[in-house]
Amino acid sequence: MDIYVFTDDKKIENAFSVLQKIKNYTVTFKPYDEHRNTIKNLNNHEIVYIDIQKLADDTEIKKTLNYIMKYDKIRPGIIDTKNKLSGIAHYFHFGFCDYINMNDISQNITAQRINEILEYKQCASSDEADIGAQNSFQPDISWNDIIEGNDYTFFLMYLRLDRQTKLKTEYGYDFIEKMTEKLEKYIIHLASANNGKLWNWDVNNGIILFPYSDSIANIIIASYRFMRDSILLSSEVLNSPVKLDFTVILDKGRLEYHSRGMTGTTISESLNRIYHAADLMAEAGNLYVFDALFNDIPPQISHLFIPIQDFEGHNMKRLKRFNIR
Amino acid sequence: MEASSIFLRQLQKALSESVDPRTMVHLVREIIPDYEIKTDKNLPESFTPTRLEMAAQIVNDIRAHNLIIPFLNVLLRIQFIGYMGRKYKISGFPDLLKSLYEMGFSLDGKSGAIYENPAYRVSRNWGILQEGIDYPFCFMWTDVVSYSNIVKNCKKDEVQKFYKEYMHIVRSNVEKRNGRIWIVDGDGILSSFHFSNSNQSTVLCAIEIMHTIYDYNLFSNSIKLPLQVRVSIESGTCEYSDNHEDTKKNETIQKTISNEKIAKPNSVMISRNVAMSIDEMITAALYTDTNSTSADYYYYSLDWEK
Repeated sequence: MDIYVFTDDKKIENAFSVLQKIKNYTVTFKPYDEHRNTIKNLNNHEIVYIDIQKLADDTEIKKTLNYIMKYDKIRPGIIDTKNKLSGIAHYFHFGFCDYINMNDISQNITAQRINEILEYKQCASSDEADIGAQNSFQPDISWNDIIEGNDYTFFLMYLRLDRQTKLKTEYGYDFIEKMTEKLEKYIIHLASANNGKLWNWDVNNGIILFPYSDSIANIIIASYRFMRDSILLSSEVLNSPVKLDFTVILDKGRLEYHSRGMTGTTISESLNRIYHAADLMAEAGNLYVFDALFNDIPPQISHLFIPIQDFEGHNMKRLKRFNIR
Repeated sequence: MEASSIFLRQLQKALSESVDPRTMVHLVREIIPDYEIKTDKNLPESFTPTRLEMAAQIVNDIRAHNLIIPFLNVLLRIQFIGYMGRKYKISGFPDLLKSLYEMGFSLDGKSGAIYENPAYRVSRNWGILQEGIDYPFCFMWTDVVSYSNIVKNCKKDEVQKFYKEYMHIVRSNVEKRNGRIWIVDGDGILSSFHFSNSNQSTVLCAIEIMHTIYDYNLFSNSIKLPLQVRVSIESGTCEYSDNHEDTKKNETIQKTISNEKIAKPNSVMISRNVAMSIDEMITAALYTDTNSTSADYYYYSLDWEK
């Protein structure tokens, strides 16, 4: 078992001296500042302790711990020698599996303690981490349950109005501005009808978040209808003189929730992936689904989704095109 | 139309304050060609009624002829387009509109015409069309492919449910676009559209019906056979009648219905004049079939990539 300890305090290193002598355990000490670079490469159920004594205030502590919570392939623990942390239970609810205070440091960390951690926290195996963890049952979540700064599994929908430059050239800036305003309002309406929120919107594209739940199939159906009915939307809702094309990409992933406008610091693999896919792979006027959602596609419309080339190691499907004249 | 007394008083006031007596009469003649203001024979010839008295007389007369809405449309026209080269500002216009809304009518933003607000009631003539007068319409005929086969092969309650759901799909999409269902003949439904860009509304309605039926077959259809429809669309003038049988005699309606024989299953068949009058982006979604006997028509169907 690999154990990582991120601390700048020699006393803490000494507390792990017993474990270092046991053959089954490999303890690696690293400076606190290296925790982000190291953790992101861990994926084998490692136990990871983070020392929070040098963090200045609650905000900084919360930020650091929330970052670690995102990684469900490790077993994280907190070292709090100065009793700085409040609301310990909250962090246990969201994936932490150990809490070490000054008293524990003075008594050394034992093998029994580590065995208890291994039993307490089972991790998703590394090869199924993304899909398996996300497919596990999660009850319906209301937005009232979602707390700013905490991690949740979300259904992410990336939506982009395509060919904006061409539209701008042909119909002018004012036209585009008015239409994107209407589109944004329409998307907010559509999202709220399915328990979603427009999370960010930047000129012609944005991300809509839906708390991941059993009813996610309805959002996939709504997305398929959105693409299919784009001619009705263009004409009757957006009053556009041309049929508008949209790119939609659907994925599932954990991310730290911040309300709209405060999303700049959010770090999420799924979010990065969805933006990469939008920039590098997605062709205008298509709907794509990442593998994490394949099982959520309702069987009635599964024949409308066809496999396409993998993207960044993930299987992908695309909604069939229609009415190609 | 039952006009409230407040509305009638507002209309009298608006007319008397906005239009001179001579023009008032000319405006009424737009809808009652031989109109003359009746004068009391007991009064001397030199007696001239006041503007307000004339307006009251006119409002009473148009009310008796059930022509309040057509007359209002005339007033709207002289305000926004003009009459004899001059635009008239109708006094108290916002109050008139407010009362109209309260009475269940709306102003069509595109055509500037007043029509029945479907949120209040849905009547065959939109509350304003007059019997015996010609109006332009766009018609849509919808019928179920092999309906007799469905009736033969399914239980009675299944067929009833199926029929009810089919009717609901058509009705909800038609009325959503301010269309009216005029004739229901078994599985055949004739819908008419009159307001705004009626040709475009009809085509979009048909497209949405095709999409909704596609979903119905995927998610809701409880019988073994799929719901497939043929839709045909034609436009033309028609003399309005409250009588169904008279309506059926209209040439455009007869053509719309008879197209059922040449229309393809699961598709919308659209006459050339309708296809040429709608937005280019919608026409771009249509196709023609040069090999067909109905090559002069445009078609829409939902075709997925193979």
